[in-house]
Amino acid sequence: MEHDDSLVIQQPTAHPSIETAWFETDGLSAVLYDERVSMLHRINGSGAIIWSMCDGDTSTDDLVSEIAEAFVVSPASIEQDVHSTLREFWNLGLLVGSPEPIRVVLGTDIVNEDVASGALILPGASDP
Amino acid sequence: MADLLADRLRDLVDVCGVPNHVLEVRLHNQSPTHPWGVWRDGEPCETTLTSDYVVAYVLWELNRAVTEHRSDRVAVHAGAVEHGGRGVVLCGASYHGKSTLTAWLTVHGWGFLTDEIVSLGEPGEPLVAYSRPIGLRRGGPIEPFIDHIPEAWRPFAESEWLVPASTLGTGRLSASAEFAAFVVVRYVPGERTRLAALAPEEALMAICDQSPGLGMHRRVAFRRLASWMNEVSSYRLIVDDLADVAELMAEIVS
Repeated sequence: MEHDDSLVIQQPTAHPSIETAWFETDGLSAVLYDERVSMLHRINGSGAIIWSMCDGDTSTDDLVSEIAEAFVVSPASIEQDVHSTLREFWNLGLLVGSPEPIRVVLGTDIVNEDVASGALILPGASDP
Repeated sequence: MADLLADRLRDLVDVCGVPNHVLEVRLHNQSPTHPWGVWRDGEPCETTLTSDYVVAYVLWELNRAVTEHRSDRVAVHAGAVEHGGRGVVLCGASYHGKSTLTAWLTVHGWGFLTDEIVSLGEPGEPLVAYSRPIGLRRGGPIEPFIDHIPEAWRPFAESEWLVPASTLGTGRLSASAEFAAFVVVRYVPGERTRLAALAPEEALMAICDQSPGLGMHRRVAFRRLASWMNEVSSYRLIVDDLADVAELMAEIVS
């Protein structure tokens, strides 16, 4: 599948076929189950925070602002990464309006594992 | 064949009680290579089975019947054993030692629940036994503990032998146990046997991968498995040498 890096998602909404199991062991994380194709996705760290805000009521701009405020960083410093994560959700078929996934066997994907620590897009207040 | 099945399935009858299906195994045709057939409740299931596959097929039909019978529960392809009333579910990909570990723990005094299918009810409900014989490949570490196999039965057990848990060690069979811990087993030759905590989200991924019930009940099953993985302690067991494994496993239910 070709990915469109210019895609901008304005009002991200979790697809109703996705069931989310939340965990708070070492920061927020989630396992998503896509009922249409019996497929699992694991989301760690910042990806899980962004997913938690894909409620259809929060615009992407508001999402960026709220995360920036919570982590005491400038919106500009995280905007690109938030868009990139939302595009990844879109490409996996996790959002309303995104192309339906075609995988038909149970499988697993790990989303955003490399930002699980939050260091890439959500630096904590004490980080430089 | 009748003697073999009656002998090998004895634990199932003793622990799980009266059956609700009738499986018939018939030597029914003249084919020199595929003489066997299996019927379920009078309906033919498979009528051209080889001698070395017919027993495995009967077991497969049993698995199917058990999964259907407990359709309100979520089936997971896993073993389960019990220690002091506390049950441990042993999950793992094929050829990663799940059955061998289940058998080993049974030899060493653990109560046997199943080596094949765990049916999970709502969180808080106990694990229940499915006491089919343990399927063990020949030449493994359990071989010294396996009872004598009559010569007449060997053609039906070319690659795998079915061992009633009651014949292993103290042969303790458990009817049910509290679901206390979940272990993902991975056989890694040459590695030191060790146990490590597993995050509940990783445990959920692992148990979903081994759950045919997920395909049947979909999000209802997913929710139930997620609830369980939030309830129980989960571990990853890397195993090669089985010598220390009973002691390691006892720690997680103590």
